[in-house]
Order: sequence, then structure tokens, then C-alpha cells
Amino acid sequence: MNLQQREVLGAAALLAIVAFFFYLTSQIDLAFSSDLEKLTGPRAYPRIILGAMSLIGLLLLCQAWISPKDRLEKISWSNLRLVGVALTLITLFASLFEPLGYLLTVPPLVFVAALLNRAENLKAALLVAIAASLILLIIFRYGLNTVLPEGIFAIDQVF
Amino acid sequence: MSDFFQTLASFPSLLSGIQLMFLVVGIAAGVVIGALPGVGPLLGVVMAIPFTFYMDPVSSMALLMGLYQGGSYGGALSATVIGIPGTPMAAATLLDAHPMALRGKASYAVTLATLASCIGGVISGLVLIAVAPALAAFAIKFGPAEAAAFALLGLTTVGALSGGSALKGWMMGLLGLLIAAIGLDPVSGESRFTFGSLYLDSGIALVPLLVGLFSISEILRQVEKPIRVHDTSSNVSASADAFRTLIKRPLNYLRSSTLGVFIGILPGIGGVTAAFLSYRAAMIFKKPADPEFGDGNTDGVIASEAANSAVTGGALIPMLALAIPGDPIVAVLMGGLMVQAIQPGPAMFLNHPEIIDGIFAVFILGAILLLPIGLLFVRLIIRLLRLPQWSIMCVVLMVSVVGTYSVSREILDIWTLIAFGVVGYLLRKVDYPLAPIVVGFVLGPIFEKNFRRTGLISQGDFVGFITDRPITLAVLALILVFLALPLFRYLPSRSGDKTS
Repeated sequence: MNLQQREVLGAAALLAIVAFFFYLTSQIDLAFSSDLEKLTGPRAYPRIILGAMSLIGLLLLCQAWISPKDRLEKISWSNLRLVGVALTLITLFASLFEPLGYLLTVPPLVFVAALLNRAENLKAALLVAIAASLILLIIFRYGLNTVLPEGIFAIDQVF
Repeated sequence: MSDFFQTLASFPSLLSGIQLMFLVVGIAAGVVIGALPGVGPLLGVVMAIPFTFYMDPVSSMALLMGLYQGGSYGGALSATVIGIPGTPMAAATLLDAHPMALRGKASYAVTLATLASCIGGVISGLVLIAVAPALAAFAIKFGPAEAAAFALLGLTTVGALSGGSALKGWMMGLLGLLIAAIGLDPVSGESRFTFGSLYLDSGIALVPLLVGLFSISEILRQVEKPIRVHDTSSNVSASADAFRTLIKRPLNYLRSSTLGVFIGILPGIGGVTAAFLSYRAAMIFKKPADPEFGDGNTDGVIASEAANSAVTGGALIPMLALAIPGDPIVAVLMGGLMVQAIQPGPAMFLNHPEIIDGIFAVFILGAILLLPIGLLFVRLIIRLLRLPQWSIMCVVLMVSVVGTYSVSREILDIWTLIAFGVVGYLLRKVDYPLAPIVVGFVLGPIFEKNFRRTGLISQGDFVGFITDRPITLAVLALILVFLALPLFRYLPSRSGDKTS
């Protein structure tokens, strides 16, 4: 991919988002259909923002068109796969955090995150995952008096 | 003027022990975070926001401003010792401080940078105390048209001056306004862009947006491209020679700090420009006997550090007095106040004078405490630079996710965090700035409320209404100047040599 293609892609994606939101504004109900409501009502404000965004989006597209075609750094698919794994990991964490609780989800999240960040020493990664999770738990549970999900493992039984 | 001295005299009684403790913790953590390449003060302040939910407003500001001040200075440590600026603001410091360290004068360079940061911070704090209340007293007379115009000015300047393409900056600022519009319409109560979700009816929460945009996207970026750790020597201590520069070069401290404060007041320019402009100014006044700039010149380190620290106090002036966050970190600080249900702006000076005085006290004490904390813990901080990057990123991830959840104990906040993490990562990939999104998001409700009030008062005749309001007209003219500014920057480069 070159610089011009990247810029065109970025501007086009933003314009598509603007168009989608513009369509959504038609679903906003108007309490009254007076002229004043049309100018200052709940639909008008987002449409003003979206109008400005579409104008800038078009200018960005024009700017992208005249931008140089310099080659960008080659995409490393193996590194992108790691980003995908990291996202899957965080998504999995979000799904299991409340059902399984803090102690069963946070240390594994930190451990796998360490591996994804190229931790070479597995023992050190495991130690950091357990120690950091426990320290943060103590800060939240006893320092800030916050209830974190206990899931199938009651935190008060651990301490 | 008597108010100024009264405020200063009341400082010892303004802060409790716990607030002082949060300030010290904030500065110490900020120095470490600022020194670590790839983390920086913005990420530090963002990560601390969930913790401040449980604090009183002054303690919250003590922690966040400590992180801001410590983080702004911390970048100088890594710039000096390993030759990598922990923050972009420290790039100008690196030019002379690192050559000094290479010649075995690391202690002198670090002490000089710490001292300059302290002086710059104190001077900017004094200007903050003198100017912000006066500006707020003037701004309290503003109607909705003026308030909307000032919010728009903040957004325009941040877009125009945030570096890179101004169009991209404005686009991101508008995206922030659009995200802020999600939820129930503040006037009619109609749902906007909520897809029927009750969670979205109350709008996008600030914490998952901030943490997702900056923290999660940074983690994803570093998973893709890890940052290399550098070996460092921790043989650094305080140097008495550096303190003598206070007597030998007072004008440089004063000039650089003043320049920093002035640039800080102007929204969107920030510490990097302040540091380099101040550095250029110091070059003009170079003494013949001094080493060349870029080769270990004392004035270069003073100019850069005093200016970038002074920016912090300057940037707080428009935020506190006009509710215009001129800098992404200040936008997050403003968010920190909003988390406490406090709306910055002129009314805050009337409704919460004790918080304003507390913020002033925190700022001045923070700038002073930077000197002992920076010098006492310098060896420990330099040792921390050897920590493997994966361990830092793990802590960032854990604090981000659990901290975000803890604010409202709402699992959907984590999903919002992930969504904005992906958005932030993709925007970084296509080189769009993230900071204007935060500025737009924070300014969104202020702008919308005042813009629509203006519409209702004027019965939809915006143009007729504002022509009778000279301040609004002046601010709108200023907005046009900022909109045209990038065009002028663009024209000469097109007419000149393309390869230049």
C-alpha cells in the first residue's frame, strides 16, 4: 500500500461513517415539526456536525488524491495476526470477567498479554501476572473499597 | 493583586495530608511514566482517571496534576540518560542534555533539567493564579452565543495546530462532537444514535472512551511493533553546579518560562513547540564562551525544560476560566473534573472557589516538589527504565480494563473500551490524531447546550443575533483566521521547490 492509497482509504472510510450517521438522523423523532424545531431541534445539531464532517471528508479525499505515492512500510501479516489475537483475548476477557470473576480472568489476561508483548521469560511473565493482579485487587478491594466480580471464586475467601 | 497574595498565603491550610500524599504519588508516578518511552503523561493521566472517581475533587486534581507535571518533566530523564525522549516535549532537551551525559556530566544535565522544570512550573503557576480568576470574572458575563463561540474556537485551534494535517485534526474534533451527541437529546429528550440501547441513552462515558482511545490502542500498537529497551547507567545524582546557573543565567529561566506560559495559554500548540521556540530564542542570546547548541549547551537544556514545564500552567488558564482545553492532557484533566460532576469554566470560580484554590495550591506545590522528588528518586527512576516493555504494557492493560470497569461496575463499559481501542488503533494506522477527539468530546455538551440556546433565544436567526454581539463576532473572526491558517502554510510550499 502507498501513502496515497492509505489517505484515500482513511477519508473514504470516514465519509462512509458520516453517511451512515446521516441516515440515522432521519430516525430521530421530532417533537414538533415547526421551522424552529428544524433549525434547532434534535436532528439539526447532529446534521450540522455531519455536514461539516462531509465537507472536510471531501477535502481530505481531494488532498489524498494529490498526495505523493510514496511506498509505506510493508504490512507484517504475522504482527497483525498478533493484534487480532490480542483483540480476541480482550473480547474473551470481557465475556468472562463477570461470570468467572476477577481471580480467574485477570491473571490469565495479563499472562497472555505478556506473551503477546514478546516476554521471553515465561516464569517472569507468570510472576508478573499473578503479583500485579493481586496488588491491583488489594488496591481496588481494600484501598478503594470497590467490589470487583467474584464469579465462582469469592475474593473474601482468598484473603 | 491582593487576591493573588491572599491565595498564596492561604496555601498551607488548603491541602490536607491525604491530598498532599496524592500529589507526591502523582508526581513520582508521573516522572516514571514520563521517562518510559511509549507510555507518556497522557496515558498516565488517562489510566489514573478511574481511580479519581473515589476521591474528593482536590485529591483527584492533586493526583492528575502531579502526573501531568511529573510526566512533562520525566521525558527529560530518558532523553538525557539514554538519548530517547520519553515524551515528544523532551526532544529539544535531548539535543544538549544527552551530549552532556555522554561526556560524563549526566548529573549536571539531569539536575539542570529538574531545576528548569521546577522554575518553569512555579512561574507558570504564579501566572495561572494571577490571570485565571481575572479571565473568569470577564468570561462570567458571557451569554450562550459567546460560550458556544469560545467552544468552537477551542475546537478549531486544536485542529489547526495539533500538528500534521489540519483537516484531519478538524475531522477528529468533529468526530468527538458527534460521539458526544450520542444519547438522549438534552433539550427534547429524544434518543440519538442509541440503536434502542438503554446503556447508550446516557451517552458514551468519558472513561472507556479515553482509556480505549489512548491505552488500548497503544497496547495494540505495541503488540504489533514492540519498543526496544535500552541499557542505562544509574550513576546520577544532584549537582551543585547546576544550581549556580540560577544566579548566572536567571534571564534564560525567566524568558523561557514566560514563553512557555504564553504558548500554553494558546490552545493547541503545546509543549513541543514551546520547547523548540524557547530553544531557538536561547540560541539568539548564546554567549561566545559557551559550547555550541546541540553539543551540550547549558542554556539549551534550561530553555527547553523551563518552557515545556511552563506550558502546563499556561494550558490550565483557558481550561479553568473558559472551559477550553488547549491540550489533550488538559482535556483529560477537564474530564477528571467532569467525572466529579464539576463543570470547568467561569461559573466554577463562583460555585467552587475552594476547589479552584485547591487546584492553584496543588499546582504550585507540585512544581516545587518536582525538584526534591526528581532528584531524590532519579537513580530509582533510571533503573526502572530497564524494565522490559512487556511488563509495563501488561500493567497498562490490567489497570485500564479493571479501572474502567470499577468506575460504574458496568460490563458494557469494557465493550465500549474495546470498541474505542479498535477505533484508536485504526486511526493511528491511517495517521489521524486522537487528541482532537477528546477535545471535541469534552467540549461537545458545552457547545451543543450554548449553540441551541442561542438558536432558541434568536428564534433561529443566528446571524441577526450575533451581529449585535461584538465578542462573539471577534471570536468568530479568530476562528476564520485559524481556519485559513493552514491554507497560508500550504500555499508557499506549493509555489516553492517540491523537493524542499
